[in-house]
Amino acid sequence: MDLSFLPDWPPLFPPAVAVAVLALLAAAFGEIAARWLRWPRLLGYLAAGALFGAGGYVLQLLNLEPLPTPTLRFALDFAAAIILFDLGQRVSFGWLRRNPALLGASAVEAGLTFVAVFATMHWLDIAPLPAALIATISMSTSPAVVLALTREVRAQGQVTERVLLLTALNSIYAVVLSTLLLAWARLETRGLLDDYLLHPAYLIFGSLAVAALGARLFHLVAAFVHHDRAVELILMLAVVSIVFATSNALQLSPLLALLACGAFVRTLDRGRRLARSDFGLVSALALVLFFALSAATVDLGILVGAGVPALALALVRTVCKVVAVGALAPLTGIVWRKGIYTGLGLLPMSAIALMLTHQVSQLHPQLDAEAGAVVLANIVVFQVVGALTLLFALRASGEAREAP
Amino acid sequence: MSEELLDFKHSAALTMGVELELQLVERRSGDLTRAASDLIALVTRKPFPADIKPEITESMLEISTSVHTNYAPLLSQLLAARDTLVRGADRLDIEVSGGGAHPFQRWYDRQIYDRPRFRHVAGLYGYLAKQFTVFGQHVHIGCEDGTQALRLLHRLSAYIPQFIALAASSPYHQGVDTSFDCSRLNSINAFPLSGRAPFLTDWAEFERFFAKLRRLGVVESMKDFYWDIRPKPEYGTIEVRVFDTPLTVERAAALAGYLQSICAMLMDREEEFTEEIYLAYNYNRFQACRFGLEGQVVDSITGESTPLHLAVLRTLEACRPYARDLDAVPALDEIERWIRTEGNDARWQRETMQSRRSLAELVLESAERWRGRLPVAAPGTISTYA
Repeated sequence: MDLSFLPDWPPLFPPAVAVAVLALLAAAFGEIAARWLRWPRLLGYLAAGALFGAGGYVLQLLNLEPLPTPTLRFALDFAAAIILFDLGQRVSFGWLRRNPALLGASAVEAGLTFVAVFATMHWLDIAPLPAALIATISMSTSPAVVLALTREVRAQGQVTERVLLLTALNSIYAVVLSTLLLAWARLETRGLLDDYLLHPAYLIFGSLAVAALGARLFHLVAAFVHHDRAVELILMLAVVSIVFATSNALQLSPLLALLACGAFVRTLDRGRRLARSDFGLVSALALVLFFALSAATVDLGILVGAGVPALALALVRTVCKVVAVGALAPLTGIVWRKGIYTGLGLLPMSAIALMLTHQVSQLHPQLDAEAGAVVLANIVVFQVVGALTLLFALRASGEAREAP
Repeated sequence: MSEELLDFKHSAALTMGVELELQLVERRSGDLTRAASDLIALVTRKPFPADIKPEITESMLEISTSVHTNYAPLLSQLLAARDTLVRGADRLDIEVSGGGAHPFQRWYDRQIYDRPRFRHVAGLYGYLAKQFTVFGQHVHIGCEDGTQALRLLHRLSAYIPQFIALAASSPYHQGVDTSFDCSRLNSINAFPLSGRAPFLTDWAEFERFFAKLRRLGVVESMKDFYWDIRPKPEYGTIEVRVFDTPLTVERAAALAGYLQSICAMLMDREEEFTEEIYLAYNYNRFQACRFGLEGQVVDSITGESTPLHLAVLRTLEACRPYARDLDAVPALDEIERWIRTEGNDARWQRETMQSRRSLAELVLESAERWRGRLPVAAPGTISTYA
């Protein structure tokens, strides 16, 4: 009997199947988290990713080839791009004009975090540049966690809106400042003064220009389409891809460009055409992949060696955010208790912070060694702890509208 | 349960006070948002120019004026309250809006404000309580004693269709054009103790009626009656509750001035009446809700049928002398202007919807109007998105 038409056993699948398996696993774990533990689904996605990534055993078990790192990185970056666009169009930047105290509170919150973390790192004998890098990244809040969670519990109210706005703002600070640090690092090595101004200026204004063009394009096409949801989603994906690819090709900041593009899309929407359209579906898809993939790529062993600086960073960052936002709350129009909730909502960290690290470390590998471990340990912990504090804040302020 | 009598507090006749239930909406989507407790906490840091309190859901709040004898000070108090509210709303990035119903909110999205009475109501009425997210204007008119109040209440019933049609501002509800000018009263009709008050004309009689119902456990307090007009013994007033919250405070004040002038006329011209006056009541009320100022009302006594806009013009003429004594002429002029030019708010809402083609836009335009920024709609300007 000739059985040569049968494949070799076990059969060999292409790496893309690994992503599909991961997605299935993530969906199942997300459901378990939500239904049995009443925890955020994203913790389930993270758990699935971590299980999947741990030593690659699952892959071996299924006889799957691991995904090549560049593919993985691209998927992660693109998911982050969608999430940032979504955040940009979700947040009300016009609010800052109507309530300038909010911008002040945001600056104080981020500034205090930066200064305190920098001082602590310096005191722990970390060199100025890595210390500044750690401080920069610790300013930021995870847009991914904040968007995923506020959507999941259908949060509505002041704490929700403020967490979203402050998240967008401190993400901008972190992106801009990390580009400045990049310039600073180049200055040390090459000593050209105009680098200090030229490179950041190119990055910031270039990214904003690409964002503005993308937003124009969006509305140009949207004007033809009469409220067809599917077409709107496709349009959104296309614009995100174009802005993402363009800013990468021009060596701009895709993170800043996408966040700004989302904000411009909303600002240019004079007829409030998009008021009722919701990019949540695409965004939700991006979020599942984002959490699962990021957890799959992280080596949990990093936690063991993280040590004192990582712990110090966690403490200082938490105290700064909660105290600053809480104390300034009355000036911005809410009671201090809700300010504390808002501060707790700003604790999540995620792989977007990690991407900022990569951005710098690509040019300066030695920085990654010093700063990477400290930041990474915090990202791993605060992706989970931050999600739980945000969930607590939304529930305690009565803004979560979960089905009973 | 105590059996104390309903003492009707003496008030100066024809004094008035206004309560307005307002919508709190998201600036982004125009959907109702939960912000009542935050907004109230913010605007009451300094003394608020009127009384302000939470309502049954977090998307709603109520402002009420003090007791006024004249239209002008009532209007200025409402304007001051509005301006303070708008400033507070700006700091919270929300909008405040009038209107009898939110055009597209989903009732199951509403959260009940955390207070024992509201939780009790929510538990008792279930989804009705959430569907009850409708917004009315209540006007109190002072009466000297309970019997005067009841007599005024019944004679005022003939004018109820006018009030409904003039204030109607709830044509859109739960995402559809209801074809009614005032759909809000349809939501209220679902409650067991809604509609008109029973025909009792003497306060002692009314007290016995109330005591009986209470013994049966049907009601606990006057609050359980959702009548179109109900006596409010602890204030010494009758409360007219059929007005949708208008889109502007100017309209709210004008309606109060008009009501006050009619009451002055009725108190001056005492005449006898029987329950006959209610024969066509529900029919007329429906006509007003459905067709607004185009509705036809039938006089229960004479059988005469009149379009509502004509009925209003006649009433305006009849009560003008009384308005002069009360300094309420500007209120009457304002009402006459609606009849002759703009129509009611429901008409503005439909015209705006026609030009904007989006319920979200309609809500946000209504919020602009509440700020006093959009005096009239430009009918026929059909603009498309470009």
